[in-house]
Amino acid sequence: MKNIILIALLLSGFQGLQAQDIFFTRTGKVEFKAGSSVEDIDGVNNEAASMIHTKTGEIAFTLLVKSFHFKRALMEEHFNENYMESTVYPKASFKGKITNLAAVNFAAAGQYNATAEGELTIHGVTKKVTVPGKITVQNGKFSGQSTFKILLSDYGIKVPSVVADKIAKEAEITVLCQYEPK
Amino acid sequence: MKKIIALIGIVALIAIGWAAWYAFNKPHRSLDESQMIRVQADSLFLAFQQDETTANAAYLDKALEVSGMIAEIKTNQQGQTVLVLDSGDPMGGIVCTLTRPAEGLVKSQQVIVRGFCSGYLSDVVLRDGILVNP
Repeated sequence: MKNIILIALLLSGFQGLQAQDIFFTRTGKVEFKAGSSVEDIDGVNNEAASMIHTKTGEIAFTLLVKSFHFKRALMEEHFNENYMESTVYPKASFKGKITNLAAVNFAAAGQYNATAEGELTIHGVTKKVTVPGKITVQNGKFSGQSTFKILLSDYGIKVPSVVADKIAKEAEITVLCQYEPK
Repeated sequence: MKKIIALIGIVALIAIGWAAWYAFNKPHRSLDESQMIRVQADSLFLAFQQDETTANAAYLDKALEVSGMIAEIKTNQQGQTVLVLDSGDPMGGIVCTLTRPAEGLVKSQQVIVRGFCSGYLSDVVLRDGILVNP
C-alpha cells in the first residue's frame, strides 16, 4: 500500500510533466555483503523495483527482503528470521533525489557520476543518507549503479556476540538497475 | 558396561555431528505440491491491493500456484525469465522469476506458475518460480 501511495505521490508531483520522463524497472539487482574473513555472507535480490524521473531527479527503490537469495538455505533463514525480521518488516526502500542532476545528460551516451540524497528504510528504521552512484546512458536506455555501506546497528539489526566475528558490522550494498520507459 | 557407554557416546556424537552438518547444508525449500495455495492472478493482486497486512498473513512466504495471462516477458540481469501476469489492474501484476529457462512463451498466453510469495511492492512478487504449464 505504502508503495502505491509513494507512486501516486510521485506521479501527482509530476503533473504537467511528460510520462516519458519516468523510467522504471521491476528487475533491479541488489547485492548484500556482510561477510568476514571467516565466512562469505552474500545475498542477491533480482526483484527490486525502482523508478527515476529524469527531469526532476526524483528516485525511488523498493525491495522485498524475502527475495534475497543466499548460497546456503540456513544463511537465508537466519538473514530473514534473526536479523532482518522480514515477516515483520518485509520491505526495504529508498526515496530521494539526485542532487547533481545538471551533471547527468540522459540524452547523450556516456557515464556520469551522480549523488543521491534521501531516506533509506531498512528493518523499519529510516535514516537520511547520501550515496554515490553512476548513471550510464547507452542506446537511448540507461542504467544506475551504486555501492555504499550501512552500519547494521544504525538500523537496529542486532548481531549476537557468538557470531560477531563472522558477520561484518558494516554491510556493503550494491544496486544495479537497468531502466525502461514507463 | 564402560564399553556400552562409550559406544552410546560415539553414536550420539555421530548423530549430533550429522544433524549439525545437515542443518548447515540443508537444501533450499522446494515447491511441495501438497502445501500449494492455488489462486487466480487477479484475486491475488486484489487481496494485496485491498489489505496488504491481511494478504501478507495469508500468502507471505507461502508456496503459491497462480494462474493468469502473461502481460509481459522480461529477462533479469542474471539471465532468468521473469513473467508478469495480468492482474486486471494497470497499477501492477504478479511478477514471477523463473529458475529454469522457459522458451516459446508469448504475451496473452494463459499459464500456471508456482513460486514462493515474497510480498507486495506495486506488484505481487513470486520468487524461485517454475512454470507448470503449458
